[in-house]
Amino acid sequence: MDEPIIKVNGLRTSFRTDDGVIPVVNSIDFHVNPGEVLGIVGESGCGKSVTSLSIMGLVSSPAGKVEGEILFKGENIANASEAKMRKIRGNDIAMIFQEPMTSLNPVFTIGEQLVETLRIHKKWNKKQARNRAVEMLKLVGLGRAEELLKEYPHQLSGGMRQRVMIAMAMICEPKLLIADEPTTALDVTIQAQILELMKNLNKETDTAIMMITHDLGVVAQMCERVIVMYAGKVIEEGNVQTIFQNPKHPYTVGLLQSIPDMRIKKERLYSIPGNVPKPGTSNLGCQFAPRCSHAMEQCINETPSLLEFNEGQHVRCWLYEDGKGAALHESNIG
Amino acid sequence: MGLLIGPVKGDLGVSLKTNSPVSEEIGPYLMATIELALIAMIIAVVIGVNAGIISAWFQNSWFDYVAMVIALIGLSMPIFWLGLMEQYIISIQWDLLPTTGRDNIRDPVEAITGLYLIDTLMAGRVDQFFEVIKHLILPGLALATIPMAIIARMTRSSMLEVMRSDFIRTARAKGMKMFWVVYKHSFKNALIPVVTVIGLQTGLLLGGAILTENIFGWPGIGTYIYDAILSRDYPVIQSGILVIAFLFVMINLVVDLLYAAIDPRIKYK
Ligand SMILES: Nc1ncnc2c1ncn2[C@@H]1O[C@H](COP(=O)(O)OP(=O)(O)O)[C@@H](O)[C@H]1O
Ligand code: SF4
Ligand SMILES: [Mg+2]
Repeated sequence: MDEPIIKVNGLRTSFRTDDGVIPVVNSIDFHVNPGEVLGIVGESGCGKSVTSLSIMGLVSSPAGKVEGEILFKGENIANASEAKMRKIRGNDIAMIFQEPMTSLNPVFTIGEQLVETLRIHKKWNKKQARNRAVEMLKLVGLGRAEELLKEYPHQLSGGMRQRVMIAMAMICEPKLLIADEPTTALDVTIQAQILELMKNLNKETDTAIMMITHDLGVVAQMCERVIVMYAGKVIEEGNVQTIFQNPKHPYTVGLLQSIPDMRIKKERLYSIPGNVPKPGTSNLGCQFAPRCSHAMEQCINETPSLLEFNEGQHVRCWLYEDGKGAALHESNIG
Repeated sequence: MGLLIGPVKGDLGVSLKTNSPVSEEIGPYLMATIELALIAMIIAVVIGVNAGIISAWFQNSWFDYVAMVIALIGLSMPIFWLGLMEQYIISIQWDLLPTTGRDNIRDPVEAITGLYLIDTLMAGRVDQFFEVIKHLILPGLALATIPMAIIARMTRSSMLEVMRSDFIRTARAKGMKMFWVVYKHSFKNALIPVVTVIGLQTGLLLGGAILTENIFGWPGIGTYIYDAILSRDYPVIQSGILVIAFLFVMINLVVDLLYAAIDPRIKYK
């Protein structure tokens, strides 16, 4: 296998707030292979956006602090200079966001905003840039591309704007596209179209995608590998198939149970009791313990480590340190 | 009825003091005021807008603090006092600039437009052009002080709001230089409230500079009306105020048109 495009080692991003320095991303490791679609799942507030902004070098300083290693093409870009990051952003690593309605600048045309990205990174003339912009708009499934260039974002629907965002992100053929909940704000049919589009783009180009979502349904549709995050930590990692068939961490099990299943008629959809802890509340033990029905003495005081299983599955849970996990697994799946 | 219909036909009445039509007299005064107001606004806009932008860009930096403290002082500055201080220190103590007037009266240039900066250049009199600039600096600075402070504060707060927007994050994620993120993507979005205060302040300068014009012996519309008030020359007072009101309305019209030019979401049918 090729070198990963991005390899994150012990990434720790913290913010200085009135309540002191709060770690939001707490020592996470993962990598993205060339051309793959990696899913990152977790409830809202668990640090997914901060992780992606850390990679982009867009964590607001001086309040935010990034520690650890982010290796891009083997080079550490955590805390790299602004000049260096500018060359990478939009060119090697691009990003799209959750809110298509507000992510485009309302006072510039679609054309200006598309061409601008090219102007920053490539030394193309006006005509080449324009042609490339038209080509990209067509590629993301927008008809009447020529006219769209002259239109303003407010003349477009949410789904169209997200397509424009994707076109803008892909225009320099980046090695990695970070998609931070790209479909969360869209309605279901549009959501499916956008996911389909991204999947096709991933196949047709050699851009890898880091698909951030809180929806395991999206992961099932898009990804080969998935990372489950909880409270700023990776708690489970593996192939999508393995994780869906054989989830090990109680949190992952809960997430899977809370996906609506049309075949089974239930009174109420399952939801994991409680909420994601506010960052910085406690750093001791397993962060999931307050919500976990299997929590033990040990879980509260000692932090479990990431254990490796077959097929690259990793789990961070005390249940598996001594084999008790088998019981959990049977009780849930059986 | 004469008061309502006359002005539309260009008839502003006859001055009781000079017995000549106000519409003929008022021109040079008006141009003098416009020249001073424009210079003051150019100073105020260039410095105020940039100070506001940089303060927002480097929020809570020393620049931000210093700029905003100066703006606060500027806002609460009594302008007549500032004008007198300028004259006392810069003109009298240091002898750098003239205290009063619009140009070197011993060697005037023929007034064509009434804007001396243009008239002197049209006459090819570069020496007089600089003379006119020298005369503009002190009253221009005095008049610019309050608009500058207001514009700086408005620009800063408008920029701070815009710079939190999602589309600014998008611009940065494209790899754009922070300078362009600030001056292009943020500023154009922050412009509407800034243009609004610029318009309002220009209107105020055109009409309300009576004290400053007096101190600097500026033969503008403020001086014209002030003298008319002293001599109870009612046609001049009425017409002078009418002209100022008209200018105010015109500036507001221009501002409204600018809105549509800045923001594509604003359309007038
Ligand atoms: N600039 C910041 N300053 C302080 N706290 C922040 C900042 N950005 C994010 N956070 C906190 O970090 C946590 C994780 O945020 P985020 O990464 O946006 O979650 P997610 O994307 O998974 O929903 C949240 O609790 C949020 O309040
Ligand atoms: S470590 Fe303990 S509390 Fe945490 S998930 Fe596993 S069993 Fe639950
Ligand atoms: Mg998020």
